[in-house]
Amino acid sequence: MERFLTIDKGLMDNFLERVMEYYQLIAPVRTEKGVLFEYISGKEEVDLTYSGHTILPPKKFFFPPVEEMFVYEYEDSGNIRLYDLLDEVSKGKRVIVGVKPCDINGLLVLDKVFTGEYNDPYYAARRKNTLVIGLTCNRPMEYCFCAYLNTGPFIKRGFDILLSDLGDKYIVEVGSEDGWKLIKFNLDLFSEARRDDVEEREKLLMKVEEDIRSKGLPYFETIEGALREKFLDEMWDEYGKKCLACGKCNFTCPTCRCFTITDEPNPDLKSGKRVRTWDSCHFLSFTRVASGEVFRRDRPSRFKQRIYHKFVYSINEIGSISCVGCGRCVEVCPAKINIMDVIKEVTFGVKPLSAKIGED
Amino acid sequence: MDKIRVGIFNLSSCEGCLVQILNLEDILLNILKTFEVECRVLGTIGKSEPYDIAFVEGSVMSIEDEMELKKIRGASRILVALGECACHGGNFLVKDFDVDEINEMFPGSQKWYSHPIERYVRVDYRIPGCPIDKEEFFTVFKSLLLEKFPEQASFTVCSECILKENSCLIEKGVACMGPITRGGCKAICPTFNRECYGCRGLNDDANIDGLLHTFKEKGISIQPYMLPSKKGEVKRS
Ligand code: SF4
Ligand code: SF4
Ligand code: SF4
Repeated sequence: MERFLTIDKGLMDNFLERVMEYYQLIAPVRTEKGVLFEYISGKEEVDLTYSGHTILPPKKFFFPPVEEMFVYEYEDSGNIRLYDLLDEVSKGKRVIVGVKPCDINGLLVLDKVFTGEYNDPYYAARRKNTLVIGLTCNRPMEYCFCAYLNTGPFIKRGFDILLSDLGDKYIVEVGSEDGWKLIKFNLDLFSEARRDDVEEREKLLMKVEEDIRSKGLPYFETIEGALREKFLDEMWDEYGKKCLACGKCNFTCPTCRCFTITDEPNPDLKSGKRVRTWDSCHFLSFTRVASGEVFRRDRPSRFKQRIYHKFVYSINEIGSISCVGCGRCVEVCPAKINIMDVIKEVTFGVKPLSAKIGED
Repeated sequence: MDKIRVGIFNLSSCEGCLVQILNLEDILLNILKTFEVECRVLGTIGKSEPYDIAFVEGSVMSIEDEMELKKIRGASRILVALGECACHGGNFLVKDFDVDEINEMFPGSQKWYSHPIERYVRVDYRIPGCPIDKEEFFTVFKSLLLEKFPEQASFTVCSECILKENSCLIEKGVACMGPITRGGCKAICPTFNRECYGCRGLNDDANIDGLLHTFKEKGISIQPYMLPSKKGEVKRS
């Protein structure tokens, strides 16, 4: 469905206001911490001018950091009753607006994991009841590298509506039937796009792509093979010394999806809930099994696991790599470990680590 | 069902962790409806009373503490170290570092000792923090009542900090201990713009050298008392 319209910037507020009458709206909000995706209570909170990305990706609204799945209860008869909380999840309809191409691709990766071979009904329900309004980038940030991974700045699918900022108006691409419905009922706010609007968007995105491509990274096809060759390379020991195993990179990554499951009894100790919580492959306890054995004891092997899962194992699992080049992991890493440096080092054999630990 | 006997004891400490337990009054009373819990709080241990679960707050700073602790261990099936003092020796240990203010205020204090209880007795479970997080205490307490040993996961304060979408203090040039500190406090200090000072102790496989390297690269200076030694125990003179 290729269909283009435009909307004046001044009318965007009206559109969002109407959307909010029928949907819960999630949008980028500028706070003192940075730009965050949040539930919106008034249209004036929405900020569609942000560059780069939000602190946590939209993943948190589809695969929450802490999620209650079901409640259990011991009855006096001795039976156990279960109440699935899935019904709660399925209630209500949401629209998330302002999702950047890398993050849209992040959701498409999660889709393959949670709705592919194994269907996760909680994730699937949230995806189903949420429309995605994308927003393309006018300016890449220091750590963006989507253009090397085919995950931006151009985007072909994964959105119901796609906005691009053309100065005084947005050009609007309709991506799905649901997206078209949202617009159809508010057609008074939109105009048909002109040919030069579409061309202007194309030019803008090409400029962004060029900017990113000055970073000198290899394209993603070469990364897998290079990694396979370098499995026993000493470089991993150096990264293992530098990495603080804090897990921030996993938690901010739009594609990291590992979790742990716990049962939490209620104060009556006869009932409780099963909870799923984000986990990180950098934590020592991540590979701990029932016997107490830990399979990845040393930090280099855990660091390696994140990189190899993203660029090698993931291809077997879901048919694509699990990195969309958003650059969040680079930005939040306290040790300033840069995944682009890792990729460069693996593929070119250059050593971008500024200083080796132990030498100072 | 037989009564489950629970004892809560304290050695040398400020009793702040006990206040955290008192702060749970509403839900704690709820538990008493299901389980018969006999609690003995703040008394010295009697002659030979057996306990199913003993919580011990405070560090060992005297022979009396040591004797009391050994009696508690002898009388208890499960022993839980409660809070930073019991788990690691506590904030008293600031005396072991050459801090002018402390030397002036407490001359000769380096001669005292403050030991984690694990140095004297076997500990079955630890609830770190200064003070403890009351929800964490409650989770452990519930699990133990159900004869379960909750897993102590090795996550960091940083991982909880990023879930709050805080901007990182290290980025702002502050010596935050979040990357090497065991999480569970929900990153309460960094959330209020105060650096983590590591009250929950080192996380498993904490990368101390790596953090020092990070501080050095960012030009962040640190005080000697902020430095844990490699063994995970605080160095003493
Ligand atoms: S954010 Fe950086 S220091 Fe923390 S686990 Fe990831 S790579 Fe290691
Ligand atoms: S690995 Fe880093 S750059 Fe890639 S998607 Fe995850 S956070 Fe973004
Ligand atoms: S402020 Fe401290 S705890 Fe939070 S992310 Fe930064 S180093 Fe970690």
